[in-house]
Amino acid sequence: MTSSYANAHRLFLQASMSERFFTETKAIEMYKKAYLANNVRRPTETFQEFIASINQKLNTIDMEIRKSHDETDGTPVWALVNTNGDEISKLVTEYTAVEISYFKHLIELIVTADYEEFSVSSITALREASKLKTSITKSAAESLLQKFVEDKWLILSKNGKYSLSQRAILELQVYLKETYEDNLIECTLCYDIITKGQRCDVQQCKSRFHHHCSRNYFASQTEKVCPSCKIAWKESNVIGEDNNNKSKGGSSRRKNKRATAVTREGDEEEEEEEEIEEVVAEEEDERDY
Amino acid sequence: MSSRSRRNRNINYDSEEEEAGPSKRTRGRQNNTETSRPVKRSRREPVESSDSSDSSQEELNIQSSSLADKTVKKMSTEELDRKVKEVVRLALACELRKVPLRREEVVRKVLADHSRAFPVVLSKAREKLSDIFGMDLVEMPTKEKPTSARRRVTKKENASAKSFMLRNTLPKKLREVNLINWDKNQELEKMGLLTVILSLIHVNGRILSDDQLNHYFRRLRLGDEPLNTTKLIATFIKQGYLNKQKVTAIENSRTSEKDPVEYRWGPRAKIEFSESSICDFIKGVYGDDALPDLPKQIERASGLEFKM
Repeated sequence: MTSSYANAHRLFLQASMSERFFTETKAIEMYKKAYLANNVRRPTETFQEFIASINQKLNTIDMEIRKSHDETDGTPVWALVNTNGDEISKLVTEYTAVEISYFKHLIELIVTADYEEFSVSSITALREASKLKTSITKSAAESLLQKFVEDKWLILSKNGKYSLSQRAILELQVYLKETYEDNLIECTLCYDIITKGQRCDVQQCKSRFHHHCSRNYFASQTEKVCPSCKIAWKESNVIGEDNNNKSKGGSSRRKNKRATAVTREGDEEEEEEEEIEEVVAEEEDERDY
Repeated sequence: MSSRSRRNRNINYDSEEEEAGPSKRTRGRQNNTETSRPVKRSRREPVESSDSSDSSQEELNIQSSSLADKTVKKMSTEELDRKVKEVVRLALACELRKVPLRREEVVRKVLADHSRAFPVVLSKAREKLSDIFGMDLVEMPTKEKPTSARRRVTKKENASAKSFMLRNTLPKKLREVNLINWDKNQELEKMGLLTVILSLIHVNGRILSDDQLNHYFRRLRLGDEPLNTTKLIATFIKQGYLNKQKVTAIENSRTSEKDPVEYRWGPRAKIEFSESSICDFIKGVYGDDALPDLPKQIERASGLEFKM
C-alpha cells in the first residue's frame, strides 16, 4: 500500500501548503529536493507515483494535489485543493469576511458576464464595492483588487479587465461548480472549466477549447474543423474578454445579473423566471439560425 | 522553583484576588473540579514549565478513559472518521491563519452532541496529522496570566478554554531545507523582526518592558516603516507569539514607574522556537566576533532556571 509514504512526502506536502499554487517545474523541483533532503539520491517513486501516494493520504481528509493547465499559456500547474466545499474549508483563507464577500461578488460578475466574456471591467468591479452589505470604500476596494491579483486569485488584463486566475479555477472548483452550475462551461477536449479559449463559429454548437487544448488537438488533425459540426474552426473566435460574440448576436446569458448565489437565498421564484427567460432566449437564437 | 516564576505566581494570585467574580481564574477552585466528572478533571493545571507536549500527551491518555470511550462507542465508525477528518481540516485552517484551535470551537463546529468524545477524536486527529503532514497537534501552554481576551473565554468553563496548535515534527534538518515559501505577505521580514524581539526578551531575563522594547526599536531604526511595528506586535500577540501583561504593583516597585506593560514569550513562540534556536540566532548575529562563552552569557542574561 502506502508503505513508501515517508518524510519526503510530508516535506513536499508542507511545502505545497505554503505555496498552495505552483507550476509543474516548481513541483518537480520540490519533489527532487524533498528526496535529497532525506539523503535519497535516487527517488524511490516517480513524480507521478509520488503525487499519487500523497493524494491517497490526502483523500482521507478531502484534499488533493491537483493538476491543471494555465488557460492563458497552457503551462502545467498544480495546487493543493479542498475537494469538498464545506464550511470548514471556507475558513482556509487569510481574508476577512467582508473581503471574501467582495470576492464572491466579483466571481459572480465574472462568471455571469454576458457573451462568455468571463471578465469584469475595473470600473464595474469598483462600483460593486459599494453594493456590499458592509460596503467598502473605493480606495480600499482598489488595494483589495490589487491583493487579489498579487495572491493570484484574479488576473488583470492590459485592457483593465479582471478575470479568474487558474488558481481560483482550481481551488474554488467545488464552490464554482456548486454555485454557478448553469453559467460555467467546460472545455470539450479536457473537460476542465474554461473561461478563456476558443469557440465554434456556429452559435448553437457547444464546442469550446482552451487555447492550449486547441493547439494540441489540431496538431494531430488533418483538417481544422469543429469535431462536432465539422465547420471550419477559427482561432479568432474566442471566449474571454473583448470577444466578438456580441457583434455576432450571441445570447446574453443572464438578463438579470444581480440575482444569483450571493444574494440568492430565498428567491427561487426569481430564479425560475430567469431560467424561463433563458430558454426563450435560446429558442430565439435557434430561429435566427 | 525559580524566584521569578514564584513571583509570577504571586502576581497571578494577586490579580485574581482583585478580579473576583465570574472571570476569576479557578486556581482556587481546582479542588472542586478534581472531584467532578473525569472530562472536567483533566483540565490542565496552570503549567509551571513550558513542556506542553509531554504533559498534554499524558493528559490525553488519562482523558481517553471510560466516559469518552462510551461516547465513542455510540458513534459509528464512519461518523468517528468523519469527525476526525473535520478536526484535521479545522486544525489546518486555523494554522494557516495562525489562530489557535480552541476546544470550544471543535465541540461547536464538529462534535456537537458528542463533546465527550473530544479526547478520542483529538488523539485520532493527531495520528492523522502526524502521518500525513509530519505535524503534531499540541496544546498551547497557559502558564502566563491570561490576557483580558482569554479571560472572557475562561469565564465559561476552563476545559473549553484549552487551545491547540500544530507543531512541525519533521527532523530539524528537513525543516531547514529551503522548500517552504516565506516570501508572501512579507512573511520573512515579519518572522525576522519576531526573532529579534524574542531574542531581546530572552536576554533581558525573559521579560521586556514596553519602554525597553521601544528603545531597542529606536536603536534599530524601526518605526512604522518598512514594517508597522505597533501593528505587528498586536498581530504577534494575537497569534500567540508574544504575551503582553500589565505590570502590577509588586512588579512596579522593582522597575521604573512608567513601565505599564511588559512582554514575554507567548505560547506559540514556546512551541515554534526553542532556547537553542534563539541562541543560534544570536550567535549568527555576532558572526565571527562571537566569544566562546557567548552561550553561557546568553544563559546568564536569560536567568538560568527556565527550561525549554
